[in-house]
Amino acid sequence: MATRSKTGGQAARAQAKNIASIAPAADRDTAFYLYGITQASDSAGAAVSQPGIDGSAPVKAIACDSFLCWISQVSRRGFADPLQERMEDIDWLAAAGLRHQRVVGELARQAATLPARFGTIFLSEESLRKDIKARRAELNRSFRLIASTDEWGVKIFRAPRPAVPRVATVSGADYLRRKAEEFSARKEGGSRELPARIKSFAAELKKMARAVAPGGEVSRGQADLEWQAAVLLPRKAKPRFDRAVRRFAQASNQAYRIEVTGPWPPYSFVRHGR
Amino acid sequence: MADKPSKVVQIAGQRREEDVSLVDILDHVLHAGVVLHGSVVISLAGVDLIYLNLNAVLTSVETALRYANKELPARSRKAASS
Repeated sequence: MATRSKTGGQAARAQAKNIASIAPAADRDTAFYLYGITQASDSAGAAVSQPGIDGSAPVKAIACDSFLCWISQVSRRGFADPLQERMEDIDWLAAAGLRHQRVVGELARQAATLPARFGTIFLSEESLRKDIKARRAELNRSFRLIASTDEWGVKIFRAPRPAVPRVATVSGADYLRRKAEEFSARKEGGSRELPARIKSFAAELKKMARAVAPGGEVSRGQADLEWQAAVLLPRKAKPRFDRAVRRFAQASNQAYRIEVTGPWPPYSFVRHGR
Repeated sequence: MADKPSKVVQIAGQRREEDVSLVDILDHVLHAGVVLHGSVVISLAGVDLIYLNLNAVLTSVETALRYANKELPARSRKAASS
């Protein structure tokens, strides 16, 4: 195995088990799918039992600088090259998204983890190391941000209204106007005025969170979704967070349904490097 | 992260647990993550990293939502909650 890393990488290598044994560079069909990055000092003994993104290859760590990069080998021709096309295949995206989450989730249960963007593939160990090394400072900043936190998803839905025979009572033009308003409200997202109750709840969350990010793109079109956010919450603040959610649900009576998912790895808070 | 993701739904004083759905998972997984090596693209160009711009596929992801809300394959549903 070629060791190109300097001292930091070697120290990390000595500490961590489960370091990948990398295929020789001559294998032109090998690529590396990256799941996430941990700090070598924090992840001695960490290991992943879930299969990789292709459903079979094992997930291993490569020592890079003072970090461990968690990868699995994928076929360049069979997996990496057709990836962009496959992203539009919903069945494939669902299965691959789940596999990605299982690996990153398993890692995040063991050590502070910066999740890699879905679909990040390197064609050589060397290029991965080089890139990580160049980003050392910002990766360390991200590790400081996410220390002792979890990501939580919060969604507030308008509770379903009683069925009213609206169609009979509005004209076609009114109906279309209302549809258009609904559509543009949804499209503009945050620009629409939020009910005061939700605004003050959002402000309350912001106070206890280390950071708050807008909610995910996938569910933007979900019916009756009024507000959503991803919250980077210090673990110590979880009881306070739970109380705030319960109070919101009780105070809004039947008007809103609130959904909380998590804990997630900090997917929504490590966005940088563009 | 202490546990696998769970989902708690509350209306008024009522609280129930549900399975985390595919949409919940993709919302987080596809949201971001560390972007390495800047943007762009493809092994053919000799660039060492393939980076996928998700905005390009968001339209089809939105159809994933309708799909996921209706007929989530048993396999995925199980996986989502495991």
